[in-house]
Amino acid sequence: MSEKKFLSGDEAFAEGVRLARPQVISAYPITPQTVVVERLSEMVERGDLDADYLHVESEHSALSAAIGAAAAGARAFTATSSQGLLYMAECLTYAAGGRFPIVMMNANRSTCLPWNIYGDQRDSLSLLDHGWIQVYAENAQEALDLALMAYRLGEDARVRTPVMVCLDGFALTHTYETVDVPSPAEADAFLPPYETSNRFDFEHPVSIGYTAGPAYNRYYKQREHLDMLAAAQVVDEVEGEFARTIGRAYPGVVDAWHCEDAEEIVVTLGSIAGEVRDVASRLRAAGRKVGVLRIRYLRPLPGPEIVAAVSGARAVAVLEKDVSFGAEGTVFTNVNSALHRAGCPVPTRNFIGGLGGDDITEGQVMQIFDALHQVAGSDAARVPDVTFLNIADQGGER
Amino acid sequence: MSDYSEGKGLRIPRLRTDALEPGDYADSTCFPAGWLAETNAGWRLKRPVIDAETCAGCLQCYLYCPDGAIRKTHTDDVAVFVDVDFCKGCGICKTVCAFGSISMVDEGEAKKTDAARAAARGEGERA
Repeated sequence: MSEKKFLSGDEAFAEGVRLARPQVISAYPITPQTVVVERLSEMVERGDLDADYLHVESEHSALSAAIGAAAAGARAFTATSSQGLLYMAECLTYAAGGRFPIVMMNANRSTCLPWNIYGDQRDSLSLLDHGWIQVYAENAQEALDLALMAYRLGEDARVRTPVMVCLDGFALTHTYETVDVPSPAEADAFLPPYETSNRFDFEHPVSIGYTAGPAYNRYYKQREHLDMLAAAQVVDEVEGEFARTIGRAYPGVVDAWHCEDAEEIVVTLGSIAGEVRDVASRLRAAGRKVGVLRIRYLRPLPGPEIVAAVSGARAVAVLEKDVSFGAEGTVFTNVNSALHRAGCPVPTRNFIGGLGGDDITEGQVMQIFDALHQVAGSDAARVPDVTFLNIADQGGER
Repeated sequence: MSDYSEGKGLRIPRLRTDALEPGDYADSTCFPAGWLAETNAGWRLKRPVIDAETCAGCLQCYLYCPDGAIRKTHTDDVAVFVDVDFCKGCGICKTVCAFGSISMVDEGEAKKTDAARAAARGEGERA
């Protein structure tokens, strides 16, 4: 039987990892990820988890060791945040191109300079193109459940791709809630042991991690791309199996809230979605037709699902905790691309907030919905394409 | 002088591009040993040639080669041969050879010799 525990996001994720039974954990501590690897090291020390725990000397080594473990056929886990993730960046493509389905937790945190330990999403969003599935949790329960589902998804024979599970730093990693922790038997029923032929094998020697030059390289890259796209369908299957064995249902690559009849929709991701829905539910009670679309999986890009959710709206905002300097928010770019490809003409605006851990207040969310109301009406020109929240001066004309 | 660059049956099996489809190999970088995706020899300006008469079989060249392109022959007449499909022509083998048994010859000239030899056997030029 499952049991209720009062856990932080980091602690909940550690419980999920324990239930996934990784054989190798390699990690280097970094705020706000530290708690998850502390809890896991304690579990290994107590014997609650039968894993080799490697306290390596850097994040680059953490992922390198996980890749080595995966190449030996082991289920591997690592976790990091911010500069640590950036330091791993070289290894991200090794894991993805080698098709090693490692699971990593990333505690979303600002990137320096200026130095800052608090949450925003610039770290993981800057690495969208490195071949990892990226999923963003909203709360600690989802975080725990994603730890289990990420292995089932990444290890699926049709996917064979590493998975990065992102938790908003502090807002999710360090806040506590009641979490339902499945029993080991329930978790085992959901997640079978990892078996693969993509590994060292002394009986049947293989060359692993080799060169592929101009004559062959494209085939590997196309395969990575197509298998990542195929993961979107596998997410639905994995969640169906999770609901059957564990008893909790999830809505697929996106989580649409009252989007069917909404005229104004805020698209966002991560833990802020709860607050946006709170504001939206008050607006709906007051008669405003508003909706919220939470992107859960950003890779594979849920293009068709985004289009299906917002194509009936009159204005769409993308609220995100990052900016691609000199362009716009990265999620905004991705959403716009999906809409453009589908020929969906709904006007969109970008709202960038929460940088370096800044609070995104209910008042700011209300401002976003009010701005969407202007965009949907006759005042669209008064709402700039990109707005930085909580700053009076929005800068130049471009 | 024995020329083991031709392999004499010792050559490692290579991928035949007409024998495999991308779907057979492109889903990971893990494939049975001996089936490599391609050769890597185009950088070479000089080719090492081992003199079997003076080679002592000490295996220093085999150990030092940074590309693993020097292989054991497992025969009595000479200990090693150069896998010319992977030799980059760096000359480290010549430098470490204590017996002066390795000479670096001009690659263009060596290719002409290869072609003449292949023509004499009635084969096309090896890829």
